[in-house]
Amino acid sequence: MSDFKYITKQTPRIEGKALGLGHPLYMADQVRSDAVVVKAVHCPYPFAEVESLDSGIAEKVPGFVRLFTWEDTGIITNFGWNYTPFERHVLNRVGRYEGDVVALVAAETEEAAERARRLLKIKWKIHRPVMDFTQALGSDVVVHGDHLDEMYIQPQLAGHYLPQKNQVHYSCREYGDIEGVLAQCDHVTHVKVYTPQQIHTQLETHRCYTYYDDRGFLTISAPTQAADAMQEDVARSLGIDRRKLRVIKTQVGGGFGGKNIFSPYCWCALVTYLTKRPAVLIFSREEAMATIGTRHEYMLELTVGTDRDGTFRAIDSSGIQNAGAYSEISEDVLETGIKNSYSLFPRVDAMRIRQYSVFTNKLEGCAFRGFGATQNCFLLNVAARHLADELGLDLSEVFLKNIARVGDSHPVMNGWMEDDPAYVESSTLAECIQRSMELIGWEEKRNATPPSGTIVRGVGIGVASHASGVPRVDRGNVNIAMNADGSFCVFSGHADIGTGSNTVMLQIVAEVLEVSPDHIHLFAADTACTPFDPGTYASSNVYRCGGAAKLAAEKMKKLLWKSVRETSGLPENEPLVFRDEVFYRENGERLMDLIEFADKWGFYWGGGDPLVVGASFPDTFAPSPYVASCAEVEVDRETGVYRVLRMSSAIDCGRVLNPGNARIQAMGGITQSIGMTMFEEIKYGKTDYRMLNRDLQSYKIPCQMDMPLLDIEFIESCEPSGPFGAKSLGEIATGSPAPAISDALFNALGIHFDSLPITPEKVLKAIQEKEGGHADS
Amino acid sequence: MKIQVTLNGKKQEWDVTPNEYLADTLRAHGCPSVKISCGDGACGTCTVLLNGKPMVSCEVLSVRADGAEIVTVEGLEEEADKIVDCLTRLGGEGCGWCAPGFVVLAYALKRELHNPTYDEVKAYLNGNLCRCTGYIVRIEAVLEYLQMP
Repeated sequence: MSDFKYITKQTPRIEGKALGLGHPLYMADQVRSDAVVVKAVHCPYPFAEVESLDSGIAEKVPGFVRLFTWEDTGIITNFGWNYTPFERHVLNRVGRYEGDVVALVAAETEEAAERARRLLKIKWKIHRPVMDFTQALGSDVVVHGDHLDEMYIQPQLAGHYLPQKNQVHYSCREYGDIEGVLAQCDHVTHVKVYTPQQIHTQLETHRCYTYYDDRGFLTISAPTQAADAMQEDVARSLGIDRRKLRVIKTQVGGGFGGKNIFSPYCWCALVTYLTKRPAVLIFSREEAMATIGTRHEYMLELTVGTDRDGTFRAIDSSGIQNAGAYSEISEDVLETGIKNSYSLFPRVDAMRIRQYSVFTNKLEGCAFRGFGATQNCFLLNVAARHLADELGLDLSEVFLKNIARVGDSHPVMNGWMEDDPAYVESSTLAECIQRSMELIGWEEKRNATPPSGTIVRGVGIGVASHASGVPRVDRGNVNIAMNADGSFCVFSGHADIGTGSNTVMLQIVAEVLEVSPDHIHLFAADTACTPFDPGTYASSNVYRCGGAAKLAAEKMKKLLWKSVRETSGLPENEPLVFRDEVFYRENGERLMDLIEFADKWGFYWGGGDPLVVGASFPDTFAPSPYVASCAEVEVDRETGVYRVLRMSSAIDCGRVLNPGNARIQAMGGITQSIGMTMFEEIKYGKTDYRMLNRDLQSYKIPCQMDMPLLDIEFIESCEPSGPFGAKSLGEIATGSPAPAISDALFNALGIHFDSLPITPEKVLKAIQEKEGGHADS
Repeated sequence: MKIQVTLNGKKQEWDVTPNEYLADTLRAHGCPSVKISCGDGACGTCTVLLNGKPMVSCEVLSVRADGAEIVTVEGLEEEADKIVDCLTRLGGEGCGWCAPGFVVLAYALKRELHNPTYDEVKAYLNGNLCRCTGYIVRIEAVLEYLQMP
């Protein structure tokens, strides 16, 4: 179908030009000059508490305004969902990771605030930390040991959330007789993988600007992924009525999940709340990297039982997730990560998943593009590779035998709600696998005879699944109004965090109304005027909010056409033609254009009621998008240095609504994942446990020269539940590069690399071990 | 201390402190296009033209710019329009934070390299980090821009 006018067409972003020209759209461009500057005081050790704090000298710095400590604050609850109340205070006397915030300094200028921060005299009582998450469970170091008595545990979490044992969560699900099925399998493969902490590294660091507006509303203007949830959290932390707090999302300079963390906003709002002055907090790069959050570190094991031909019969997974010092949304990452990845292989007789999440004194894990599925998809792919190797099968065959197909169902697919099963309603994953192989030249390269020289090449494949929002929990909400000038205004709670979802929302409304996006305004993510939205996470903007936009636009269209007939004196069932934004009768008689309608409808003379509609889209199915990627690598066997030469990805995200945006989402996700596969990892000192790489000189993200050639193709399916058949795309691309690259290295060297990141050092060491040479590195 | 500069074609006199960096000074003097991200010269989002050469302005002390000619995106006018059009047509602005620095670099590239190859463009753009787009679209945008009169 190509009879669409606005969707499926490459449409530049509505704010693209202004962004490129550097117009003042971001928070930092809008701060009043009389705002006080806030600096956070960080704990310099992995685990330490403030014994005494002397601000005598700091207060003498000219321009010093005020010091804020744990005595001034309440709790931060968790992400609006109240998972573990009382675990974390807005400011902590006890620093549970290096970078944890114990106090705030406010001053008239940046320089004064920085000086005052340095002149605080803090005496620390240092505790022994627990850094190794595989040893954290039941460790004698208890991360929250000092305040167990105040930690309220919700009844439904009893037995799962055990802070006295450093246990954040335990997920244990069993479907089918796992031991019995495994015993009957022809072949059993066991693998173990490790995935590191990765930092979001949005180019705009975390920041917040707060002020009281003219009517006395405490206003937060900040780059956030979730205005409504943040309003609720900050209001609860400050102990104020949330109707007196307004959150306005500004342009977001990169989110990736990391701007769902609400602590910086709490800190800044606290300063304005207590001083009544506008306040601004902007994290330096180092602060942003060492304070906010990371992709969760995982150690995972998988046992797969199969038939002789590689058909999966049983999947048995166990593992540990490192939550870091605070649980944040680790429980959700654990559960959702399982759901979104194991849905890839639902055709098994038995499945058992047992994963722990634990506290450590490392930087806390938070939402990060992929949300636990990236790590679990790597595990599943590694297991498939091992068993293909052991059974002498082509890995792609193993995938094609076992992937989810249309009609498949498994309890894992909707979060174990057995009485409400979910089905795969759309998938082109099999075609995606074949297409990505064609693009890389699989047939000829996979089984090529390896050259005898130093430089060798290999190709590999990886597959992944994800979801579109959170099933049976999330809703998208959109209101649309017609303006007095004949234009429309869309009000939506969704937060465009640099993905282009604003533009796609307008494309959807334009398509339904048959009105150019140039005649449609958009207000998004302002708690004072946009409808509720849980936030930009789980790849849900286009599916969930776009779904609501489509429903609302359909209502508006109906109302508009009805009103046109009414104002023209035509009967209710009179057919109308709407062409180039002009209404005609069927006989060709011109009735009116939209401006004329607006005038006639009587915005001046009191004609009809204003044209306003609203619609809600429940995220019932959260359908999976799928990806298959192939990678080609070139390895220098003497140094272990390797390059990814080329990657080909074929993606099923349902219908592609904006091809340019979609391509960028895919390429960006792949690039971020290449970083995680090859070199990105937080490193901690071996003796002092301090974070070693906390700036962009020492923590490298992929740059232009790291990029392979990328072929991206979309093999569209039509998702029945999605707006115009769309699913999601935000996170799916991050799932396949790590499996594909590690498989390509296996193809080149005959060595399995199951621990990320796969650095040249690891590659060299493995080559030397395999060849029995001198392993002196 | 006082320094004199020519910013986007206009002569200006600024009062700066010895430890002030040019990126901050430019932002304070009407150039919101200058974005600060890493603060240590690693990411290139604050790239401006200093005496015709692309420089990361977060690493240049403002006093060093005394007598210099500085150009930011605000001063590139139609050329900036052209580059941004090439970028946005392909959806390549991402979150937008790195876009102005990229625009400056693309402008400098066109004036410095003659008929560059794909790989030469790739190498020239290497200093400007981006976390959204995966970079390839920027090379495509520059190659399109180079075709324009």
